[in-house]
Amino acid sequence: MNAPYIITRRRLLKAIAGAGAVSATGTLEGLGLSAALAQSAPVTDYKALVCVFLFGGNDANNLIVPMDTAEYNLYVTARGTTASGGVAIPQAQLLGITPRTLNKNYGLHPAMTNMKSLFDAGKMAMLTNVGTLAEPLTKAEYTAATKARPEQLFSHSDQQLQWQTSVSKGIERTGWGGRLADVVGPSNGSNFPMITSIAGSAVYLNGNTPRVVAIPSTGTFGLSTFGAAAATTARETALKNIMNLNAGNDFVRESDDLFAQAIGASDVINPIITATNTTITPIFANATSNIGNQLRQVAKLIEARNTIGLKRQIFFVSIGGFDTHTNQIASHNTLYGQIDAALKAFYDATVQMGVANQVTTFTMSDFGRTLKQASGGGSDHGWGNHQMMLGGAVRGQEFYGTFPNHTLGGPNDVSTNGRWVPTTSVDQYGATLAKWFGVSPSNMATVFPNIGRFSNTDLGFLS
Amino acid sequence: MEIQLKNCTDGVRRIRVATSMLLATGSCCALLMNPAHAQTAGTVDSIEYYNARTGQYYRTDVANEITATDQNAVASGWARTGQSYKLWRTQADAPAGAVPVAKLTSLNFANPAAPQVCSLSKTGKLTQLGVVGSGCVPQTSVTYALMPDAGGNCATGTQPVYQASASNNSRMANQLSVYQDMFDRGWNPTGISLCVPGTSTAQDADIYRLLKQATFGANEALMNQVKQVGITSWVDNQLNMAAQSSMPALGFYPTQQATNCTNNNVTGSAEQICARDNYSLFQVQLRFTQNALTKQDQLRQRVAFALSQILVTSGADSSIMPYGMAKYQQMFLDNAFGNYKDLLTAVTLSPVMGDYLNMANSNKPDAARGIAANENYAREIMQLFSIGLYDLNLDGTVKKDAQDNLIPSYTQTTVENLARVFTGWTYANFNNATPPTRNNASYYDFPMQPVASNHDTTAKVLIGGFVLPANQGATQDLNMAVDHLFAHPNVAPFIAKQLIQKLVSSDPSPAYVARIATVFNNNGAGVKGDLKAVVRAILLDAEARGPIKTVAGVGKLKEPVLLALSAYRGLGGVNDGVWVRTQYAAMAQDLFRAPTVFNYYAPDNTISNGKLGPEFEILTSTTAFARANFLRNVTNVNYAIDATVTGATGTTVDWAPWQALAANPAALVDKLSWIFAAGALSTSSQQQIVNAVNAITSTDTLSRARTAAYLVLTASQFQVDR
Repeated sequence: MNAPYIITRRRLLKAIAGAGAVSATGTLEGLGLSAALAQSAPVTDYKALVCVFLFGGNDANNLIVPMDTAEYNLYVTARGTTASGGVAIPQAQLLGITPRTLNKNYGLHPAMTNMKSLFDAGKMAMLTNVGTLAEPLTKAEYTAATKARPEQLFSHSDQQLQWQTSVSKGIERTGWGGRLADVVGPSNGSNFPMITSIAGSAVYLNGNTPRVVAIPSTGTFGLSTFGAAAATTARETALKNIMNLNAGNDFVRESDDLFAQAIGASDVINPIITATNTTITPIFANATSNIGNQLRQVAKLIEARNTIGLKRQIFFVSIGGFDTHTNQIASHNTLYGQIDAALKAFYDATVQMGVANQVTTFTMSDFGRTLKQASGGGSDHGWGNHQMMLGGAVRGQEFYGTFPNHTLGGPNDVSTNGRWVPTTSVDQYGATLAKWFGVSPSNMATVFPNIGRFSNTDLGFLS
Repeated sequence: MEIQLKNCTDGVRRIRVATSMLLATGSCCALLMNPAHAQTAGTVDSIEYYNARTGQYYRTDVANEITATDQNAVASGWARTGQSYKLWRTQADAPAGAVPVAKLTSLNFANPAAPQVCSLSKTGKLTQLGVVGSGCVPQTSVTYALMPDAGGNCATGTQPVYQASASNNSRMANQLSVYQDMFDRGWNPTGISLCVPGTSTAQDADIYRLLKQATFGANEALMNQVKQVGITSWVDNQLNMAAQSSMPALGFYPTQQATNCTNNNVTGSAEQICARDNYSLFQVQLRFTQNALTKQDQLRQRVAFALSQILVTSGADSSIMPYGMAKYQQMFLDNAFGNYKDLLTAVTLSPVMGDYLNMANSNKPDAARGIAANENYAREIMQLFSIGLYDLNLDGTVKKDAQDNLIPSYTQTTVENLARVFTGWTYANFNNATPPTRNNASYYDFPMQPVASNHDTTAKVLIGGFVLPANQGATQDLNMAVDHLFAHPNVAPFIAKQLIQKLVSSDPSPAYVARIATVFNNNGAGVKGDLKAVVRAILLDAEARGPIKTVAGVGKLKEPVLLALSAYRGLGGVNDGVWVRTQYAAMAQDLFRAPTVFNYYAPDNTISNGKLGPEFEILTSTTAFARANFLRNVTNVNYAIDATVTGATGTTVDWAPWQALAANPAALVDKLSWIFAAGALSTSSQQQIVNAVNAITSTDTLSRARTAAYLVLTASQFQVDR
């Protein structure tokens, strides 16, 4: 059959027709799509971006802790000692790290032993106090409301969307991963879906043209058959033909399109993820959590990159459970332990495949959390947060952005509970990744419609 | 000829001899004529023909034309399609409000190579097709039909006729499956054009559609039940029926599994069953599934399930014990037709919610230790359970300020104040024997109880400057805050729209939302939040009633739980729910284990053209296969009895009734289309399935039945309710 994931003319026209209505910012017009289609010089090298989304709002105040005495004391005072039911990690347990150009010591969460090694080896970096912003914003401007704030700060669903869309005002239905694919896709050398999610659907993945395939973290990816061969053939023929019969209904068509795309993609993907001769599996022997399984699938697909034929791929994996209003110490030990093992295995896999410099992994999360502890051994919803970037192309052993002042009610706190106003925006974070991925300056505003509001569009953490 | 006794409007009961000829002279009480009478007298048949040479359709109700067309079939190429419906012969035969309908056409049999056709249109307007002016002669006589009402539906006793047109062609159809087909043939379908005598298929279609909305799946027996009492009475019976379903009464178990069900790694051991039954959601999921498969209070269960996906707690949070989840879900069964405010209060005080969103043991702020009141429940009761993020109009659309900005319905300051309202609550003491005096460990048998010393007694300022004065107790503060939230004008559209989405369609019209929100605000007796009145209004609304809607934007993808249960309820057989229970998770709806308080999917998730489609959030290429492969197992595998489950019967579809139809694939598929697609599976889709069935030897009736069922169930036209 024809590969049904190839963009149909109908859907392309629909995307163009709908593009003007999509964005509240007024900068994602059909113009952007036209520009994307015009940029079609084929690329020859392989690159992949892997987004690890930490659902629930990761409290990175406990991922990176300042070690200098005065700053650590501020941290303990706000968080409370574990002995008193608080969430401050004892200083002796923290894994000491020293960013290359900062004359300061910090501590990584004790579960992040492998990440400490990769940080020290220069393969990992941190972006500190990054978050959703409509434009650059100081605490004074926030308080006086003289500049735009992101809408619905501190709300899970809205802040997840804003991280994924880079748009903090109004309702935006495309994500920056999807728009990145829109821009790069036409020069990508294959009609295979450019975006693979091992974590279901996410707005981050939605572009103006659909290029997403979602695969399971384990098991097979395809139709199970039954009965005699002739009956099976007749049944599959009917099933595929019925997919083209939508009875004029939007929802029937949407369901059929998804199903048709899945069947087209499974012919290629299923042999890859069920192959027994992969060199990837043993590397993940110590990373058998769900996030480990997801990243193993990503590694298998990268291993088969020549079969798939894409020169640029975007992957999406996720791990939930970070909404730690209570019981945060135990939750973090588990979750960070899983992430540490999974990211280590994934990085090692890229080294073994010889693509470590061509694969960049990065984290996102709903928001940071209050530095001040919440009743019950946890923390409440915050704003600016720290993120990890991992890969051979990362200029590692370094902090980017500006580490927040931990004084409650201080210069970075828009409340009295330790909610940091971000000093770096999601747009800048994403644009740095997108530039490395091959997006030209002229196309950057198609991917990040508000990037023009920020002066520094390359934070410098990728080479 | 028939002889009838008629009570006429003048009070005189007359004998009337009814033949089509006599009726043409008029009837003494035509306006009171019942539909059954209409079908047997005073009507004429409109017969459809198709010409394979020209690809044209043609219809006539003129007897001599029918005769002439049939006689000239070979020469002219015109053949009956098998489609026909009735029209009223005269104004007097028809109910009040009937409009004249131009009769068809004459057909130029003189030149069979280039037959000229005129099409039927409504209100007497004749549309010429073919070469204008050559052999297409308007008839002077007319027949009569009704027009659809303002809601687009046909009156009781009549059935809809749909119209579709294409270049040089036009088609009228009273069968939805035929009309549905015209969409995929590139025609321009224009919806219901006429209402004509006859009730059977339209009424059946409406009932099957109702059963998609109000139950966990239709079958023929249930359809016949509804048909006997009528849709309104059936809905009222469901609303007034005492609860038949309940959650299992699981006893209190302490949270330490290892000390209660030891050695639970041994397969089939008593300890393992102990762990399964008390430390996993097995019994809760199983009972839900059994209730949905067998209990009569289907509407109560559907509404309870809908509410459980608005007021979400999740067993994915490992601290939530199964006995607590059973009680939490029982609360929705108990309150499904109660008042939303009572439910909101019960949820707020539920120890399960208290555990899930951390209101339990949230103490007043402790400045000395630097601890703030926990904001989790305070935020979500506003964002998800009552008013939502933005000010809404009654019709569910967002309000805008003068600068065209959305208007947030609360601020972070509101959240912080409300968090202090909800301080000072903890789990009850065991058996609630005494009031708690300090924070207790989790215990779900009773609502949370206040501990005065942990409650913040300073004043709180809520939405719109509403003040809870200082020095109020925890209970008084909580009740006032819930009252205050419930009085907010957002509650009606916010909750009404979500209930419509869960029961009827994903992207309801603002007018539909407004009608239901109005009932939410006032049930007719001055009461706000009466869920019984709200559910009744949702199901009996014009947008919900009538056969399957044929407009592009009406529909709702079946969520996985509904997909699974509908398949089994429709096919029939023996089913203990043990296997079905296990299947929801693979399709991304692990029952009562939503990933977060935001449920499995968001009510404002959109499909690619911008229409709201919540359930599509969990339809990906992965779950598309999971759904299809689940249905492959439904239609192909018998599941044996699990001896460790009391009363287990295994899961086996009874294929005998379906095999009995297997010799006639078209009849088999048509029957499946009725039960699973309310009679609207398009004819081309049906033909595809018939082709697949015909590829199997006719003696293998089991494979034929299974193949037909698999293809109907995997069709998006079944999986999308509309």
